Amino acid sequence: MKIRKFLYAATASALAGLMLVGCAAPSASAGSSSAQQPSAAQPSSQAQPITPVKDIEIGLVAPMTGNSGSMGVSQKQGYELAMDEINGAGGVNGAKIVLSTYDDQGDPQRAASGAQKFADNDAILAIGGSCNSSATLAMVPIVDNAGLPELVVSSSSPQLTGSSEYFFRMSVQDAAVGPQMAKALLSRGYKNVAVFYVNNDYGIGLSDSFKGYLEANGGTTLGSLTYLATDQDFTAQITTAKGMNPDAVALCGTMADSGLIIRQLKQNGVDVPVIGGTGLYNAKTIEIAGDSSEGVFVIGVYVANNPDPKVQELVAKYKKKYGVEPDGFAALAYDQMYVIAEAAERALASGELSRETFKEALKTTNYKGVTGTVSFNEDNDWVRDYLTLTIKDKSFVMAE
Amino acid sequence: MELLQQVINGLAQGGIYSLIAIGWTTVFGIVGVMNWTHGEVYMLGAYVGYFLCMAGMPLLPALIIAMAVGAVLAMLIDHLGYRPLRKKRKMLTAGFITALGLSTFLRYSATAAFTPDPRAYPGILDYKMLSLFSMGGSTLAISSIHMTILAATIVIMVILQLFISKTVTGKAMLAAAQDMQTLELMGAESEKLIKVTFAISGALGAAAGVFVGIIYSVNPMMGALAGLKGWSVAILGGIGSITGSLVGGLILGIAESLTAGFISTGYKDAIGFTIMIAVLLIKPTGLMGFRFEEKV
Repeated sequence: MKIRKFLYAATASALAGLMLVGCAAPSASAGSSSAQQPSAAQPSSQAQPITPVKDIEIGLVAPMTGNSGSMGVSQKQGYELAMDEINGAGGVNGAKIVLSTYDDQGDPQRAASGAQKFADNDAILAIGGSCNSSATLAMVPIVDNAGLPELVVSSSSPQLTGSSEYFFRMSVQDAAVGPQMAKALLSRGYKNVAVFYVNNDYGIGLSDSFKGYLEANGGTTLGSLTYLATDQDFTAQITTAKGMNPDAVALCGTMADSGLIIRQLKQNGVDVPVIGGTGLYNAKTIEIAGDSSEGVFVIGVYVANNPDPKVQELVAKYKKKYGVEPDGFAALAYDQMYVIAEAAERALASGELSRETFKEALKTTNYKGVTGTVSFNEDNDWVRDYLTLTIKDKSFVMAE
Repeated sequence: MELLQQVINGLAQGGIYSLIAIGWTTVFGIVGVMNWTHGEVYMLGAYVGYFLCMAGMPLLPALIIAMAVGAVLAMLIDHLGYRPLRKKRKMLTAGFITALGLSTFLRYSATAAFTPDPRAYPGILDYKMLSLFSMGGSTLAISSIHMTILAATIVIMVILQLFISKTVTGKAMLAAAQDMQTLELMGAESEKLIKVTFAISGALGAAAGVFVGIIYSVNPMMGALAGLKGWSVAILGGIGSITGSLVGGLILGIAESLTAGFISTGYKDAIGFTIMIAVLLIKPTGLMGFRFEEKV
């Protein structure tokens, strides 16, 4: 026992000593945890960035199979397309970006295992993923503990805001989509709105942010009509809404329920403009709503037929490589890989590329990509403008 | 005016619940098993109808094929799931668990086969609002599709009632509901009767599925809530009573519609179960039940 205690004390003091000397001495002696501690910079001028000797390794924890598999596959393809371009143009100061993928099947437990696997591997600089909020929430404590920067494209839960200084989000924000919906209606002169919302975190959060902005800017919420995610019959709510004579209807739900509401609104003779959040930006909405979908407004960040030449260039490249048009996740992931490359370059320019310097570099991101200009706020959330889309001839286009 | 419109909405929705509950109640009344797979037969019937309609088949033949598939499926479920239990006289103890297990198995197999995404039927029935009555600028209306379904439910109910009261098989089914063992001693083939019962139940379930698919959409999980609703309607109407199922379904539909319209949608699904519990406490035979005590 005594010997063990002595050993503890000795180790502790040795570590304390190292920490004190660490600032001045070269860090070669820092041992196993060197990946997380910025080792002292080699003497070099700031203007001459150092070429890293190794590849820049990025991990991706995302569903490749299972219910949400298509989201993960889109993210991976978006990453790969950008990596090909970056590596083809000489990489990040000569270093290639390489990607290893871990399939979490949308399951929070698997996502946590994947995060741990990459966190334990010192060679991994940062990770992407996951897609489902629940899976991402399970990963955050692990990356936070390991000091491993994580970037996501598609977890919208408000719980993730400010969850870790290592967590960066480029996905849609429910709290920002609501005001966008209200703005789009107000700018078109629709002031008295009936709001439908699904009775869960997503629907409540989105409708609250919508109503807040609407009412603060001269609009009126005529009624808040709630429903359950499993509901299929909305005639009761629609009958109530009809009695209110709204100028417009706002939908705070997802594709399946919103598609049915759009259909039933028209069937029951409520013929006013309809607007929905990003949850409606899916081909299924149009399939379920059928002809009634014509003219419905939807908030989004990306649409394949955006006339912006940058978007058209991506669509052409993506189609050539994968045979399909990139969806929103792929486009965001494409931008995200460039954000990663740029941040790695900035970290290198500051003298050393480590998880810590990479995280600091991410904070100063200002990248103009396909999906808008990417920058992060103090919570590492993406602040951005959204697009107002509309459904025309059964596809999403930019609204006028 | 809004009150009346909500009542009409409820009637339209109630017709669907009735159709689901009739299939439920025949199996429970005669075989005595709480057949939780009924919701799954309903869901699979909806998918059969969906694929046929997508392939361009008109509604009527698609509906008939879906009903036939539903009938075969229900018989198959009985043959593989319940019959072995009956033979071992374990129906009472293991029947419920088997039913739940089968239902879960079918639900997730369907999820694997058809993906969890909802699908919409192609627009095969014109959805027209028929106005019933106009006053002061507002109109009472009911949709043509809901009217069709309500009419179909009533037709099916009448045919079924006639079948049970007029044919030998039907009468034997009625007798089986009383006492299966005595009936067997009297020389009737109870297994055959049970097969017929499951076939009828499956066909009705599949028909309900196709109708719901047309009005709303189909997804692999749609059977779960339908099964529960069918169950509470069956209790409300009186187990084993076909007319009871019809009345129970309409009452539940109206109650839900009024709850959603005037109290809160959050309570909509709860109302059915509240009614069910109230019925069990106050009048366990249900509105039209007549044999419940003897059976249990």
